[in-house]
Amino acid sequence: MVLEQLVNAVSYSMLLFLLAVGLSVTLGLLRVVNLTHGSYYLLGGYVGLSVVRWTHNFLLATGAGAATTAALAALMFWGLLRRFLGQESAQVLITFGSLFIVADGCLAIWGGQTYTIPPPPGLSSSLLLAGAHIPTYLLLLIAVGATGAAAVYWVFERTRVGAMVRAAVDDRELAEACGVDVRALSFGVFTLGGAIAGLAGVLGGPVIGVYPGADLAVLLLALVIVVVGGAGSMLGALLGSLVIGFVTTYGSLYFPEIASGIVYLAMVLVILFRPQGLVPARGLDQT
Amino acid sequence: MRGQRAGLMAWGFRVMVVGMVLAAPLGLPPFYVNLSGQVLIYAILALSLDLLAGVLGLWSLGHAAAFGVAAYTAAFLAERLGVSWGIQLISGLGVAAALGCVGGLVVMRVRGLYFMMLTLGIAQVLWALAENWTGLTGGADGIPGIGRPSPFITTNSFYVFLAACFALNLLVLWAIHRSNYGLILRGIRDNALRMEALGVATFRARLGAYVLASTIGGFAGVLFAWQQGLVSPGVLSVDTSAETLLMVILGGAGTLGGPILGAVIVVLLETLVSTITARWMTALGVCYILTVLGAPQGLYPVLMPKVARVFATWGRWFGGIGDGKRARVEGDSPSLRRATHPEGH
Amino acid sequence: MLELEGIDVFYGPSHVLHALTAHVEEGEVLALLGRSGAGKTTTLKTVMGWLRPRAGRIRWRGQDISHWESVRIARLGFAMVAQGRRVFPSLSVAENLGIALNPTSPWSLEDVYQLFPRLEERRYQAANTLSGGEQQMLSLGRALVRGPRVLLLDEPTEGMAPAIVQLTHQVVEMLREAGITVVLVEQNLAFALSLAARVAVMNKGQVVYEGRAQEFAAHRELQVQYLGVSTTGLRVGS
Repeated sequence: MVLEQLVNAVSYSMLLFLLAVGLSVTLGLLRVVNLTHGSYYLLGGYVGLSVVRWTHNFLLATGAGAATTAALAALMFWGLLRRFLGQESAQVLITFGSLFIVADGCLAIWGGQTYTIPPPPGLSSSLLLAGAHIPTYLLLLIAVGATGAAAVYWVFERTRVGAMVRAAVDDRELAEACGVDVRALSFGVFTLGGAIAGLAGVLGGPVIGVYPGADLAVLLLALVIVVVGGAGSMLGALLGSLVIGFVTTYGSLYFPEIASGIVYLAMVLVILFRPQGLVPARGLDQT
Repeated sequence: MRGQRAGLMAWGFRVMVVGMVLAAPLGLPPFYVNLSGQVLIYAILALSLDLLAGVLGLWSLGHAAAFGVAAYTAAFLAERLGVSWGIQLISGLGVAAALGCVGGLVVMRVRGLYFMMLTLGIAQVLWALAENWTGLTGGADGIPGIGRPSPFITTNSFYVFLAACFALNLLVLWAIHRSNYGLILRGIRDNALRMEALGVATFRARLGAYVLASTIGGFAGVLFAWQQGLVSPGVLSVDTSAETLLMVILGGAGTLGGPILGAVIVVLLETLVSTITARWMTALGVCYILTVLGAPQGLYPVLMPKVARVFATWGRWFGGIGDGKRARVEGDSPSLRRATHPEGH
Repeated sequence: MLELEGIDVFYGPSHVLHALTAHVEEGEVLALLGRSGAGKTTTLKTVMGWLRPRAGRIRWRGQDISHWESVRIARLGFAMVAQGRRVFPSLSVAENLGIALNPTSPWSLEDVYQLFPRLEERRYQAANTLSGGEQQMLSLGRALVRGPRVLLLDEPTEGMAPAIVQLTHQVVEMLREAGITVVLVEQNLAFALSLAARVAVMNKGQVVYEGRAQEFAAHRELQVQYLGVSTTGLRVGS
């Protein structure tokens, strides 16, 4: 039982990490709250669902989901957001409007029921581990999440591009004066973040499901994680995801009455005592 | 003497036009009267949020908290304890103000994204409580059976009551916008450090704004409870908060007319478009995006000068109300203006 | 040649630069002097593209760069050593230099490490753990690896120990020898005059005096008139 809950918590945290890391870096780099981020999850999930239905190929579904949301993110950035960097109210309108459009589009195409994506064959059973039944799919989630975290870490900390992103988060003006094309970087980060969120949508399909309203639920979770963990850093996203993942899993176990509110309670506490998040963000407490 | 007469005439004009606009729906079928009533309630809510978001510059994503707790207070008192509507109103306002006080002490320490998330967090915790504490709030079903204040039971008479409340609210907010206090708040939005250097107690000023915004939002909540007759957890939801914020941004933050216009557009679009097509959400989304592209400061600042030009005789009036950025000279404190804008603009 | 013609710059409603006109010959060092608040830093920021002029033209070798984005201006060959030892705090020394590295620059990372051995010692340390002097060296080194044609220096000696001032002096001499154009904003008059070929003095957003550095250095009354100090460092009255 203990091991099962632990695996639940860790795998959920990994899924949350994939969701939140794109938003965190986008926020740190672009200082824009992308309210459409949850919609990427939703759209990715629906596209993955359809692809699995047609081709029975889960891997292809994840690729399709990620590609679709990458395209949407690229379109949104290049077509709309690019001109309104630094203008908060405009960004809220744009990203919220897009949220509505994507949500409605998905509703029109896929309808209103809740779907779960069937996990890939071979991963739909459970393993007997130390006396506990562990669904193998959750192990896959943990593996993918950990790999993703490692990959993001490597890019962030060990490559020149990652250093440029960190520099731009530190001091955008100075980075530009050093020849770093922050706008192209922002475009790349935004699109990649969208792709990862779409990937998370497909991966989360077998566990959380895909349903109208998932976009808002996911968005709120991701925002909470970013606030708790601190924006602009991968470590912050990871820590935040772990905290929220564990609080949610064990919280709904021991305090089911306020399960929906417990995450926010945790967030309020963190903000009160450590307003910058666990891994201090840079300059986001100024408007 | 002549100037005074002209001033009085301008005021007379204003009252007349506002009265005409407010009275207009009364001839229509009950559905539209109710709808107009809804618009007025949301307009009050949006105006109260604008005090925070537009005037003070703090975007709250949890304004539904004040709205919801007041609505629930009135509902609880009405349905469980059967008290008079006067006590419902005062209690609702009181609870909202108290929430504003306590909440304000907490949230005023942060700004920007963290302010948004903290206010959202508070509202979400309250929402979770409303959903799950079935004994107190009726859970997901809510509290039904709320009656309206006694002479104003019918659709039309209640609408008149709402219109009067709205007019009162508008007057109060207009006074706040024009007052020194409004100037101080805008000064804090633009340059808090400078305001501190001028000796302004910025924390108290901001806290005061938060309490005011909560109280007026609570006012809207009580009216909502009376109009709908039923209060459910949706009043505390993030949808309500987000929708209100969108009304403010869409219409134009920082102005008086903006939030009102935003409320009109959002409520009408949602209700009327949904009768034509199921795709009302897409319509709303497209509307938001088009507004950003065409009128990034909101629709009111863009539309109003045009309307003013068309109605030339009323131009002076339209130009005089709630021009967020550059308030007219009457009612300004000249010394305060000079202090906050030394460059002379 | 770098030319500024009739530049007007505003901070919001504040009119900071008034029809500013100045020029710098290629390969020369121009000292931009003036009292605090005269607009010297604003001028450098405008040249670098961090601020846009509302009116006027900036030209480099005849090309109009007035409204270019700062990335483009940087890639054209402009580099800025900003006021206050501005570095990327969370990046290491090596990363600070690495992201600015321009393959065509005559100075490689190794050259920078040779000039500033203390930086080599600390190459994997985060920049915000460095001392003020080391951060200044890092800032200079970062400008060097860009291989600039024009270097904008904003008060490089402010608050620096004499050893660092000396080192900075050497670096600017080295740049001058390499034919690089330098615009030097400095409060340290002696330092500025010992390096500059020409001098431009600003007051209230305009250039009020322009001339050869030797002239300016030789005539104390000019220094007193425009700056309130002379090279003896004594304040002679404002």
